[in-house]
Amino acid sequence: MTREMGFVQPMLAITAEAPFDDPDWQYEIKWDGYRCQIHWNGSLHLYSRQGHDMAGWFPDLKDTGTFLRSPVILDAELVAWEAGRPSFSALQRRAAAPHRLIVFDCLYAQKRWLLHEPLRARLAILHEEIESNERVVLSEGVAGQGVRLLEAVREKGLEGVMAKRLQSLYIPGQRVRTWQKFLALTRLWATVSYVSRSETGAGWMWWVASAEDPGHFLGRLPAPGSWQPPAPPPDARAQTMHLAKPIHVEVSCREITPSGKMRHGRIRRWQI
Amino acid sequence: MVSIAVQLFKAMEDEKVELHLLHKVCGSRIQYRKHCPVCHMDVDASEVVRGAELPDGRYVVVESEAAGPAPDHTIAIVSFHDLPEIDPVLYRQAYWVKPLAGAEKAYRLLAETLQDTHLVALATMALRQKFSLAVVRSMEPHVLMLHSLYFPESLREGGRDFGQNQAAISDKERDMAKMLVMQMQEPFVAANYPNEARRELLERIQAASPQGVHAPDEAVTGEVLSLMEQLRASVEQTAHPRQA
Repeated sequence: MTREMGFVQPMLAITAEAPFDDPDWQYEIKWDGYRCQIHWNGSLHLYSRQGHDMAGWFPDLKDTGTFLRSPVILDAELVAWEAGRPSFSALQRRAAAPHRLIVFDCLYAQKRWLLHEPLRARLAILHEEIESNERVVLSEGVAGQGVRLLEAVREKGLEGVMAKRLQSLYIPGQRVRTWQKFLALTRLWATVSYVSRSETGAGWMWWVASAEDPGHFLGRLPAPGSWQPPAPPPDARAQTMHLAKPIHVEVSCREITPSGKMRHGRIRRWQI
Repeated sequence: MVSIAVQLFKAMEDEKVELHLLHKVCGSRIQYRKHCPVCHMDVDASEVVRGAELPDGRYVVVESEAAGPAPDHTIAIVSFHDLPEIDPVLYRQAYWVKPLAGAEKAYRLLAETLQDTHLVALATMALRQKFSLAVVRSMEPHVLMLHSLYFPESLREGGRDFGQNQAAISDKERDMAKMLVMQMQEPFVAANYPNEARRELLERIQAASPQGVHAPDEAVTGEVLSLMEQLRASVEQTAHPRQA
């Protein structure tokens, strides 16, 4: 093995049209964090999806190497743990929450590359090489039961499920059909009483507020293309306007951040 | 006239993030002690009285009854006014007014009447041993809000002269200024004005909180594993329902 093994473009998943069960597939929790490729060969690198070394960003992970036995390249999700679950917003604001690397694939181990081995074989080697410890946690999936796992994941408020064909090879940098994600998004009903012109001036932005507390704004989302203000703005130049009759919207989002804002919010449906 | 039993709730959240004084060396909270510099002793609360300073530097003791009015707890409406007549400079603190049991109807009648007439009520009240003026108004169609007021005489008059100068302003300058202002006129959207400084301070506090300084929480790996185990168990439970 060369001294520098080099960053491998991570393999990517498509979003499944619908969750499914298949005995030839492995289903795991989709953790809400940063994709992270762990390189341990005496020195530690934690590469982001784009190949930036994140090792310096998370001081509590800098001794991860001491928890690994031999040189490895592992595919993982770097999560910040807060209140019993991963919190993406804690990651983003570099909060002091403890971090873990949840490993789910093995690209190099036992002195050889494993990209051309089927997932089944890579997972077997991953389980031989890694035991869960205070830095690295081994992702444990279920075989065949994708739909039920998604239900359970949704129940727990987690992000979703990764479905992987057990025969699949590791194809660097590709978004492939042999890896699919099922998303379990948070959905909620909210109200829109204010709108503002979008930056481009072409459309409108909806100010989405909590249905229970209209003073609590969850975020601003682009209004559906088909929507037009019920009445022309009081002034042609007006940037914002109040709607006499609020719009009811169902939004879906990855999470509501501790500051009460939607992350990755989307309008699912709406009614006047 | 009519009396309505109500309770007041402070309407505005304190914007201040509470910080304490610590002893830099050991990190302990600083204690305040009441100390008499003449007797060289810490003084017990029972030995403390209030006094007012006289111009010559001496003090007269003001007995506690004399220090403030006996709390009456009555908000007495004096008169009704147009809201713009009362200058915002007088406003002190806002309270939600909640009707107590039995007072709902009278409360609603007052709220709706104020809403319909576009008037506000001027009242006197005693709150925490202090007399003050108050404005009662309908905030939303059926909700009353109370604002405690400063007494108008408390306004320091000195500032009234600040605008007295002889600068000459041309019509053109006036028009331009007016145009600029009109252009920047827009509806007031409360959500446009978040308290960024407070958010930043809270983030700084969070970043400095002990998890960040100490070793990572060792229980986390256990929590991750147990979460995965729970999910796997719930999948298996539904996959193989127990036989009756």
